[in-house]
Amino acid sequence: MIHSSSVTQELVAIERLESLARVSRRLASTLSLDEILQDILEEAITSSAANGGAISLYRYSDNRFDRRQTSGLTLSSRETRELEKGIPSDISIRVHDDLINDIGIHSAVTVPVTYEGMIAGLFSLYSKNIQHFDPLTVEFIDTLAKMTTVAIVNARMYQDTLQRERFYAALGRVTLAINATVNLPTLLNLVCQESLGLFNVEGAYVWIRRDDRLIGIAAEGYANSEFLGSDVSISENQDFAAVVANEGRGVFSNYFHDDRRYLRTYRWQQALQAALAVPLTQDEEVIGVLQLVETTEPDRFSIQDVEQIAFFGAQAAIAVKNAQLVTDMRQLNEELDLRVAERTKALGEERDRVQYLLRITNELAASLDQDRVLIRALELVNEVVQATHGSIMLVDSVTGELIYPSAFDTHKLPPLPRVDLGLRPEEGLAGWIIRNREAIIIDDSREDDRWEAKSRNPELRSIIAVPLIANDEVIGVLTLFHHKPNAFTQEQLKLVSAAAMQVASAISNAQLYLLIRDQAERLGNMLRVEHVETAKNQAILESIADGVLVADANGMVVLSNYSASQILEIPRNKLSGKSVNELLGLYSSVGENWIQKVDKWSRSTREEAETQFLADRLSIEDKYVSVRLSPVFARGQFFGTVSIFRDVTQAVEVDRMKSEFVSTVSHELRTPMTSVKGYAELMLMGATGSVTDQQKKYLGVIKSNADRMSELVNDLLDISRIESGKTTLDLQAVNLKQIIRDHVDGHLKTQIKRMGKEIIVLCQLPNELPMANADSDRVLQILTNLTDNAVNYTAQKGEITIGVQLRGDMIQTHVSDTGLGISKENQPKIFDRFYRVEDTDIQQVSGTGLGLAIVKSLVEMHGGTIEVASELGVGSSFFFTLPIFFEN
Amino acid sequence: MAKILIVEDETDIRELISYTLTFSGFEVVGASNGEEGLELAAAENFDLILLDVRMPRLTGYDACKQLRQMERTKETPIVFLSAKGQEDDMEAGIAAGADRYILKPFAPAALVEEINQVLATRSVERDV
Repeated sequence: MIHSSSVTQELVAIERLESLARVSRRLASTLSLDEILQDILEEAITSSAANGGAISLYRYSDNRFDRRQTSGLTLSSRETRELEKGIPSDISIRVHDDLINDIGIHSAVTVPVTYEGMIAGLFSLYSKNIQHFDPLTVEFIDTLAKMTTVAIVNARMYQDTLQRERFYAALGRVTLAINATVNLPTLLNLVCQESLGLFNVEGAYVWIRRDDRLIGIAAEGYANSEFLGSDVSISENQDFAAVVANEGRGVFSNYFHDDRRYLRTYRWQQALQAALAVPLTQDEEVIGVLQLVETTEPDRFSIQDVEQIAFFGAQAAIAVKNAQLVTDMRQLNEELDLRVAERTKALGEERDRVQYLLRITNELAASLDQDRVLIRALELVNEVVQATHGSIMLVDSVTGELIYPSAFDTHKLPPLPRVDLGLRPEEGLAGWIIRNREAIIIDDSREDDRWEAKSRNPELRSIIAVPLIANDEVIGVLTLFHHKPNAFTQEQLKLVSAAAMQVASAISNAQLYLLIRDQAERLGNMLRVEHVETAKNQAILESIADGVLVADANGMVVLSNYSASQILEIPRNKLSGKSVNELLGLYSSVGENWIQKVDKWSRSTREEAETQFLADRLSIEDKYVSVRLSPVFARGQFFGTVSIFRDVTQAVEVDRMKSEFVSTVSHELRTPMTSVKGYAELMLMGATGSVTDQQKKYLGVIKSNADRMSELVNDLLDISRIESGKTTLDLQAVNLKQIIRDHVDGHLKTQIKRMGKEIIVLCQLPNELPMANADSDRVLQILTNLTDNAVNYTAQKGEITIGVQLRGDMIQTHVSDTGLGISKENQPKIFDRFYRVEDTDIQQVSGTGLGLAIVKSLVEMHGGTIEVASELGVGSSFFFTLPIFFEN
Repeated sequence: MAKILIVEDETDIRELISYTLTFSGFEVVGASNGEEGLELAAAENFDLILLDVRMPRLTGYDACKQLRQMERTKETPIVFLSAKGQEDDMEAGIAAGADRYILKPFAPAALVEEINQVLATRSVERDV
């Protein structure tokens, strides 16, 4: 330094002021920090006559100084470490005067660049001279450092604004894109692309979370194609993106290459120098990760970057969400479309199937002829299946065996037998089907044991066999065959099964129709027969001469015939619905009794009432009508009455005439008999002079024959009177024992004596015997007739026994003899009128043939019965009963 | 000697009775019909009148009733002798006022016995 110090100092000061002015102008004219820093550094070096310098900026993210500008001689970063020790906590200006290094720098000054008390950078100048930086120079440099602060702040502000603008512009584009497109890959690629530009990084990736995994889905820049498809586990992998997803916050690693915290799964991760990632969240849930990477420049990211990218990530998340919604929607739509298409297809198939089944149903329903149904059923089913053979076997409802009513054969193979094979329903494939009620396909009959007819029908390889089920009952088996194996599909089986239901139903219908037709025919026939019968019965009922009235249980007439109305002289329309009681009332006192009786019947359920009836002869107007009224019972229940009316006026008239005739005849006979008998007796008496023995004998013959005729006439009159009802009984309490005793002692013994026979009469009478309710004259007549017969038909010697026993309400009397006896075949006839056994022995005995008929009538008039027990040559016994007398 | 009127249209029978009774010691007057019988009965006294029932012009019943109306014969025993042997016939006869009803054909001896009985009864009644 040879110049005068003051002048020099003046000049230096002026020069420095000019330098400051230039820097100020630069600060105002440019916003490029590097340019300004370069200018400031150049001005500082020049103005302070330094050999070199450097400006570093402090990075708070990693507490390091980042050298931004150098000029001239500079120490390396490593060499400056010692000089910068204590910074940034100590921000005083440091002047070093005695440095020793390889490049010959001996003095240095380090001025911190601060902004509002915070370190922002370092301004360093170097000089080869020792003690080069005097206090004025340091002050000048400090001033420049302050100007640097301004530059830095300005530049930062500008940068920030610029960055923000760029960010918002990018955000705007992304948002716009999100709204404009819903294509997720496109959107995510856009997010990557914008991130790439915005954050000035080499690569931008988007991971999307799928359950516990992150999948690389969009990428721009470095290794983008390699990234796509990357796949890491969130919970297990210590992969960078996985850690971010796991922790749910933004993370960056500026020295990723050396960062051992993170796992590197993929090759593209090996080259990374710096990485930053933020989670993409939706409703606090991590749905993906946005990752930025650098491969060349470490130390690239700051916390601000994290914040900004997080912002970006939020947009990306929305995009993902929207896109997912859209994708979901689209997928849903596609699925719906697919399902609609599938359903349409299924419906189409179903429709075809239903149409097919409908056709089967229609065609089969149209025919009720079973054979036709079966043949047509096979044809229709086979339209779908294209089998070579088919058969329907039915279970015969009678034998229970399987029969083949129908079969077809398209390939002229040996036809299936149509005859009854005598197959039991439990045998063979058909048996299996019937047992299991299952439709099956046999792909190859040679390998299936259920097909037992292998040897008989080896050409039948594929088989579909389905049961025919109607009303839950297996009525048969439908079988289709193909000569190739594996000929049938499950679809066909389904269709055949469905068709089989229709076929079964059609067969069942046909069978039912047969049954119904048969029954209808039978019923029709029955109805016709019934009709004819009814008409016949009606005609018979109408045409019979007897009047018929049928009354219900209430006594109302429900049926009548023409004769009834004629006989009762009541118009037919008035008969119907009339009460029988009212009609019976016509018959006065008899009717009253009947009404009571009918009433009793109606309340009776006893079977014995079934054998009862009421009969009487009534006179209505000038007619005689016989009425018989019977109850109708069914299963113990009274149903009503049937009354039969018969106009017996004519019969009564005939009867009367007969009686008159008999009476007249008997009178007319008696008159001549009187002469015959009288004169004979007169002569026998000797009133006409003496008669010879011969004459006496012959006169005796005349007399006895006259007596016999007289007896005959009496009997005739008796029977006539009994039959015409003119004989009435005078019923009283009768001491039967007494009557018998009197009869035996009187008439019987006299008769035996008169006949000149030696017959012993035995009486077997109980000590105690109730009175009989009888007419004593008639009882005597009965006894006389029976004992006369006994005497007449007993030989010279014999025995007659008369006995009495009590038989319930009746007293039984028997008259037994040891006479000729009556043969079995004649026994029933002996009570007939005028019947006489054709036997010479018997014919010798005089008799009219009316005696027993009269006895029977008299006994029955008493309400008793008469029976005979006899053995030819041994004797006869007659038993007759009379009722016991009861008071009232 | 009792005197008996026989009213009987059948000649054979009238003669039979007549002979029998004459043989048995009775005095006998015969009439061949009811009217004739009534005339004879009105003309003279008889101890007993035998009446046939069925006769032309006047039946035995009517004749009997008329006889009972007549003073001469109202107490005279009347015996019917008839072929009509039915109960109501006999009842009708008794109702007409007869004492007895004898059925044809009869045994002559029995007839005589019956007549003796009636006469005996009547004489007892008269005595009483």
